[in-house]
Amino acid sequence: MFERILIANRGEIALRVLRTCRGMGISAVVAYSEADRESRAVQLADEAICVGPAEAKRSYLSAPAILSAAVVTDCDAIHPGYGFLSEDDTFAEMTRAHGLTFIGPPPEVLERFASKAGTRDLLARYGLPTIPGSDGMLRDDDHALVEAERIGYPVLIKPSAGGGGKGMRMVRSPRELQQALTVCRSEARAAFGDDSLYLERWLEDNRHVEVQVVVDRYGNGVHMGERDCSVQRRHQKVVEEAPTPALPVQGRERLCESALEAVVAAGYENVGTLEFLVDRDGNAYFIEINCRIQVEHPVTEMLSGIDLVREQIRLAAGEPLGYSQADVTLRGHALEFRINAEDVAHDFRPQAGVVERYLPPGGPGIRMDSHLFAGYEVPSYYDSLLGKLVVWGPDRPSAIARARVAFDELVLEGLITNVDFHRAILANESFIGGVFTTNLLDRVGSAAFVAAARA
Amino acid sequence: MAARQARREDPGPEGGPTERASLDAVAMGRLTEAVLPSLVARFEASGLGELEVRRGEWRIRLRKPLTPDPAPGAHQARGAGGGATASSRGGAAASAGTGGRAGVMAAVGPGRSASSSAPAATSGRRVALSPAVGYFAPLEAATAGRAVRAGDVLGHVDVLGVRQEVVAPADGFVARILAEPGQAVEYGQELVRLEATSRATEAAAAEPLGAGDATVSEG
Repeated sequence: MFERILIANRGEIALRVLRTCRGMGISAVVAYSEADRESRAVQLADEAICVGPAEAKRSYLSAPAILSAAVVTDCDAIHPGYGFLSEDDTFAEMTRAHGLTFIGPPPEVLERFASKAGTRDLLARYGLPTIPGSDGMLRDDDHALVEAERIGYPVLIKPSAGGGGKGMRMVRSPRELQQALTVCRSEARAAFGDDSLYLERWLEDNRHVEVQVVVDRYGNGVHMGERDCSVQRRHQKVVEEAPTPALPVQGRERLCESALEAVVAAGYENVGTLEFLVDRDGNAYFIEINCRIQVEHPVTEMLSGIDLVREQIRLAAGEPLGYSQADVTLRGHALEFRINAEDVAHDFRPQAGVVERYLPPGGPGIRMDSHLFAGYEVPSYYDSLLGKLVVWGPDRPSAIARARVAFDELVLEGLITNVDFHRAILANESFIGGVFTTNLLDRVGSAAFVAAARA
Repeated sequence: MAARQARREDPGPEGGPTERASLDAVAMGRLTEAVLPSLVARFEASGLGELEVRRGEWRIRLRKPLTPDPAPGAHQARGAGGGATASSRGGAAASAGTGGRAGVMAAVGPGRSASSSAPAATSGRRVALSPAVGYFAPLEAATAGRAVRAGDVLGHVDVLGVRQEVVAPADGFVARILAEPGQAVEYGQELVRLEATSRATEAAAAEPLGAGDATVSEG
């Protein structure tokens, strides 16, 4: 097992990883940027080391800075968290070349699953249904037009690299497609340094369901059920839950089993997530794999009682999985609400500022993963996630009831957040009825959505 | 995310075959012979404080000293042979000075701006800060009492085998080296403290420390 881990991330996930390291008796070094000097993770770390200025490209995204920090602090492994370098196979390879372990899939596995289009083809060969899409990357506008005609409108334009909804657009006609291609290319280039795009058929009223898998390097794997992430705005997840209300028990089991079987056969290793779109008739189509810990992993931890960060660390250290599918029991229902510093009324504009008061909610089934404290200054350089309220209940209605109580209890003052937006979701009939679809928020409009809940 | 971007900028594991080295040498030669003279001429004529030009894998950076220099043509051109800093893209040494360049434009062209490439110095303090996380190697000549000018290299920080320069933020005299040779240092760490006037009485103080003085032995 590792003795000392460098945590190459910030915010709530740095704290989350730090807590597990502590629990495992592993000492934790937190790599931070100048903007995060006063962060909670830095305060709690066994050691903290400044790796660069606020600009992520020169700190959290700088492979040499992160690696050098791990080397000079005598770490034997690096936990990348999510985002930043978490799925960068070159960084994983550099880490190994310096005699350290990347906590995640090994570099060759990351490389195999690096391209979304390539992964889709790979897992289709191992039996996963995929959405009809373009044949590889789009070469130019003419190629895009031909492929879109073949797939059938509406189509979704997607970037090969990255996530978070950047470079993604749904278009309904050749004219819209031509206009959107330019925008998507420049967005993808700015966000990921790679402007290759592909097309997928757009499913109306789809739901986003993803399967959590845990696989060791000896070919043993389990799934830990699915998560439903259908509450989205512009392809960004807002609320996640498990189990999914979209599928009956047998459908969920079949989906999880086929996902696990396919990734094990394709040589996946460590903790990962397979994302699917589920159509109105309950058909699931594989869209992409996330080779990292995900923001919404606590939902699964609430149901399974298994610490997924601990599993990442154990498996990266070469330990065998040590249990089988029969040992994984999923109980009750869990919801996660992403609390962001953003102004819902003004196009979700990210907010920065000082947290004046902060009192997290508590009680049975309540978990608040957050790096906030009163007096903390939210920097403007990074994403706007302030924390995640995770709620567990024996069933869905009781989890929803607990969530409402928790939001009433939460005190978070000093900056504009999306807390009222979450209250509106908890009052929405589609949400309560379990029939929320990924495009519902964007169709209604978020401002109208919040206003409707107040009326 | 952003994987591809990082890939191109990193001094990745793929460097170093011999053909590549000789190609580099050719590129370097072309730069110094063909581009540099005209570049220096235009730089002199301009009111700019710093100029950076990139050609493929290589870049050249010219910088004027911070203080107004009375002698024309005395613009400081540092680095190997040709009188400019030319480094491989991967090696990307942060050779730019810190703030205090008020009123003078910093970098030109596609390179990042000079003022943003070094850690922000605390206002008014004359301390050279670490440009990166790594192991510190002070220049032998940078001993207490030595006169330095803004932009002088006082040492290096070794980042996975790539040296990044520790640069004097202002004119002055070396007061104290704050880290041991070989010590692990973090980004922004204070490494060399300067003072405005020399407390040392050695004659050494009279002679400014330039890039060519690296061989001067300690007193």
